[in-house]
Amino acid sequence: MRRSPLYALLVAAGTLAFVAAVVWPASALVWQIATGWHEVSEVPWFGPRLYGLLWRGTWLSVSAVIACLAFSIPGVFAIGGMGPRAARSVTAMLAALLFCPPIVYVFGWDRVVPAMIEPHWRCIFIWATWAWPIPALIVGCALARQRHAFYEAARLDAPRTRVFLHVALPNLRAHLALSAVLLFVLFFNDYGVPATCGLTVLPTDLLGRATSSTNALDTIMPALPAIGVTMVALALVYYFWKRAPATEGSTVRASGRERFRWIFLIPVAMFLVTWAAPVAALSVKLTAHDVQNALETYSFEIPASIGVAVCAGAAVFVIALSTWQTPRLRKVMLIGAVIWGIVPGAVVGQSLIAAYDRTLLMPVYDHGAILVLAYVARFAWVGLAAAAALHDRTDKTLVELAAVEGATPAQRLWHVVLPVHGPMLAAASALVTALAVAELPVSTMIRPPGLNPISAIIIEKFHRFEYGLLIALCLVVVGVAVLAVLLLSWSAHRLADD
Amino acid sequence: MIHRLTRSVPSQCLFALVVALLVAATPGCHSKSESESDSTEANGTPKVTVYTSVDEDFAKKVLDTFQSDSGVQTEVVFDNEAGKTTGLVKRIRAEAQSGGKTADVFWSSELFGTMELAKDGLLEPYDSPLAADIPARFRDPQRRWTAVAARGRVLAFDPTKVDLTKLPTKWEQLAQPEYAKDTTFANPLFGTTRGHVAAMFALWGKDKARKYLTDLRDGGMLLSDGNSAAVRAVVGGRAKYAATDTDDVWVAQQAKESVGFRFLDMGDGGALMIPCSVAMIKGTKHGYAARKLVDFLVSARVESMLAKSRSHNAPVRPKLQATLEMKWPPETKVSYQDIANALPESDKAVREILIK
Repeated sequence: MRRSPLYALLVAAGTLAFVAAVVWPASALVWQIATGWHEVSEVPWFGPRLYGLLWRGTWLSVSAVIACLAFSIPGVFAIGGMGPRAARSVTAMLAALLFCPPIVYVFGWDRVVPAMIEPHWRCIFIWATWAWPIPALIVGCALARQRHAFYEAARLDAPRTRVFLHVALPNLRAHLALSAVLLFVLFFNDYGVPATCGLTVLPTDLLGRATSSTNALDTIMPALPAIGVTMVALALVYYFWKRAPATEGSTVRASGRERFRWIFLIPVAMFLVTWAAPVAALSVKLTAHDVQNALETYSFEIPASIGVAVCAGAAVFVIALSTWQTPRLRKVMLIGAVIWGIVPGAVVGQSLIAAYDRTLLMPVYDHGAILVLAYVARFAWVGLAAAAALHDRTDKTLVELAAVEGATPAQRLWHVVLPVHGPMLAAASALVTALAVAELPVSTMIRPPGLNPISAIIIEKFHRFEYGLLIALCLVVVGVAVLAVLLLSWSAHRLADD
Repeated sequence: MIHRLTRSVPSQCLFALVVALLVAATPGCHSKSESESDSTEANGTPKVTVYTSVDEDFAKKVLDTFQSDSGVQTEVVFDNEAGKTTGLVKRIRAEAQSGGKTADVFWSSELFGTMELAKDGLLEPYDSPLAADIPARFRDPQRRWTAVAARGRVLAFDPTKVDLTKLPTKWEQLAQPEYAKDTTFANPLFGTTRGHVAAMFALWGKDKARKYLTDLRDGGMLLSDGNSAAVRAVVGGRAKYAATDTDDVWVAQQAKESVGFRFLDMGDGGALMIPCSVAMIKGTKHGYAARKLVDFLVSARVESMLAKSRSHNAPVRPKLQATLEMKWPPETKVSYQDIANALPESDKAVREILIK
């Protein structure tokens, strides 16, 4: 089998990036734990405070999940009754909402809703108004696929409510559960919203422990219950995903679309309220002076932070692509990346410090490269999951035909896989970029000299009551998210055309 | 087929991505080896890495001024609000342990973490000529650190929501049930709050200070993520009183938030003032540039800049105090050294009583 040097370079780069971001830091952390086990703990690992924080995180997350599911109901029905073109537009809108980091909404809503609202409720409200597109998309798409059941039942003249309760709802249970668990994982591990609402939860406490203690176990041990809860939740996600009914029947959408036309306006209105209102509230407060001040003061930090995030996105793209021909390796990498993705940011930060705070590796530790590795460690799962999903959708006949015609693996990747799935992988990279720009816990822990990440600056501006600069920087982050969404829309459009 | 698809996605795009990754992963042209010694610095552009927990908006202006005036390139690592100072002290210790030293200068927003580093033998003595006019109590006898530009520990409150005649006048009073339930402190393992609690231990003794913390906890005191978060709790109505620093109140006032402050008596008739500190890290490879930066940071010019900033730090130089008309309140008699000595005891108590 002929292998091109470029292909070998790609595989080497992808593997190297994954090892550098996940495998090596994880090993260094394990070594640190093994050698530091005998050290006396500086902070109690488990105690009433930790259990209190776990309880607070749980009830906040569960409440937000319930609110989120309630908010998503109109969206579910709208997406469920739409044609593909309208669905793509709504998906782009919802993605714009999701891609913007939730802390932006905290600052936006602060200017719309009175700040006197109790912080717990504020936190729940912001999570719910940010994440409602997730169940709307998951359950809505499932509903769209199952409209044939509606259609058949309607032909038997059964009342619509009854049809929904007895025919559609049982088929949507798995998707509902999947959405709920996914939301719980997101909320339970979020640092930004509780921190900016003035709440101490486990992720904020862990960052404090990681900052104050020299013993890595002081961060890792209290993180274990949270990791356990998240692992169980993810196992449930996998279980529900496997149980979700298979896709079928999209031809009856047209009839449904006519019937539910008015309902399309509801998710659009909700988008306007939940995305446009807080972003507009920020924008109207923005002055030309603030923009100029932000661009002058952070003329290096803004492009550098975005550049580092783009590099992280590119690295994830390379990692995902490098595993295309080796599904088994991808599976192993995906498992590793998912585990590293759900580990709290404070622990990931500890692992990177343990791995790179060495004389020989100072060029990485002292450089933006460590931030790239941190973001890859946090979000590599996005690219690998996208690659896994797309691999299953690849037209095997086309690939085999290329192989029969003598195409090398590299040529098959370049000329068959990339043209078809490249846009979607690029969209996954764009998502990683948007997530990386807004990443907070690891960014604050491992800032290299001379590079203060934009997310850390935003939080600093919040603490220093510098609202002008805060708003200007938040809108930069929104801009990155919107660009990512445009890329996603373009790739979805391309896929549909193909 | 293959030919058609080749045109649609040029492989050069992927190659560019790989190159971008490699460029990002490769040390840039400002790598550490560039100016490893003083002699190299004398010929090329001098460089210095400073770790600072001074608030980013003030620190950035000061360091930009230094860079443009001296031609020394500065690279900064800032601290986050929640981990103030403690995070950087931990980082300096860890880097010293691993042998991969990065910091040349430590510019802290408080003093006690710096004194701990001095005690650990991680600071390089340097007697800056520009610190000659600083009173002796703000300088380490062995010249490992210099203290400048102080902030006061104060009680913040919303003047529209509290009865000003019933405000506490002493820190001790906050532990009383009627105050404790409405009070918030930042986590006393970090920043100036750490020194504040240690000062209580130094001044009141272990038993009384431990009882104070226990009473605060039992009274329902709210623990915030930082001094700024404590002020925000007052502004948001979640607490009536916040133990914080003067600068956190000044910046909130400038953002037109309704918040005022009062210096409280530590118990001996004086308030606690905590200065920033400047120190050179032992074994720095950029000694020339580091000394230049230390000279600048301890200078009257920087004290004046910080006094005139939104932070309103109070100068430690008596002459500058008079020039800027910034009088200090009557000060507590407990010495900074005594406070630093009380840190292990107070940290232990905080962990046992508040953070378990």
